[in-house]
Amino acid sequence: MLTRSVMLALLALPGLAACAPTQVYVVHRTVVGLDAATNLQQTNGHIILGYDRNFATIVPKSVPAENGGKETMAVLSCSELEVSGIYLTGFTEHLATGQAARDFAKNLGDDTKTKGFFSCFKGN
Amino acid sequence: MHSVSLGLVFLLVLTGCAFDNVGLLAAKVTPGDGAYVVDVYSIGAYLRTRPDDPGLLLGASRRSYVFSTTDETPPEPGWHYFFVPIPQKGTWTLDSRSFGVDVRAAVHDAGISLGYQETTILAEVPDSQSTAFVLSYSPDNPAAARLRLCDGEGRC
Repeated sequence: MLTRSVMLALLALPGLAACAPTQVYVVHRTVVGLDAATNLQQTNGHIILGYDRNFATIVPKSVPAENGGKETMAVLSCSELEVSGIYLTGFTEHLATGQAARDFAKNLGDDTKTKGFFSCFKGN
Repeated sequence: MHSVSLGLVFLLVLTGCAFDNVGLLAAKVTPGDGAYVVDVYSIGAYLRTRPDDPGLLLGASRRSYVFSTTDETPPEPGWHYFFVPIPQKGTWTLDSRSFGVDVRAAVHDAGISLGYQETTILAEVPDSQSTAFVLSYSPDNPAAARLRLCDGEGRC
């Protein structure tokens, strides 16, 4: 009975938090079996039976802009994933956000300034 | 008070349960380069209330939390049993592998899975934050974890 109450409380939490994303979120998921999930706004979801692998990035779209409005958050990102079979065996995440992302974007062509921080963009 | 706490830990272990960082758990703290990793192993029922990893698992799991060494003093490296040192500070990355019934209640990830599931959160940064980092992590080689923080001018 206690377990059931706790589970109901946990399932209710996302409903209370239903609002626009406020975080950059980069995630990888592999499921073998049954998986049911919903998105933040609870406008859609999925039920999977079997095997599934996802890689997703969520970027907030409502950060305050300089003109007083709203804009998409500045993000510069490069994700390198290593997988073996169904398993993630390693990753390297290069990520800059906000003003740091704008500064890096301006300096991307100048390795003396970025010091190879975003080496994954070389040659692109 | 101390004996009451010990009694609760004993009760959780006996019943095959764990709550946050107490109960039927084992954890290994591994130092890396600019980061340290806390691998938490559980079996049985595991209720978590961490803001970045809330949920309930009935089964077995390994949850790996990567923290920055600049955020706070790392716990003692090595194995810890039944009472594991998981800092309350937010993680830089979280890798969870579980088998069983897993109810997830995170803001970005609400759902339930039955079977095997593996979730790796590579980054989670508030929209108000200006930051830059490079994080390398291999779940099976935590000692190779590397975290480098910089600003937009390449100052690290």
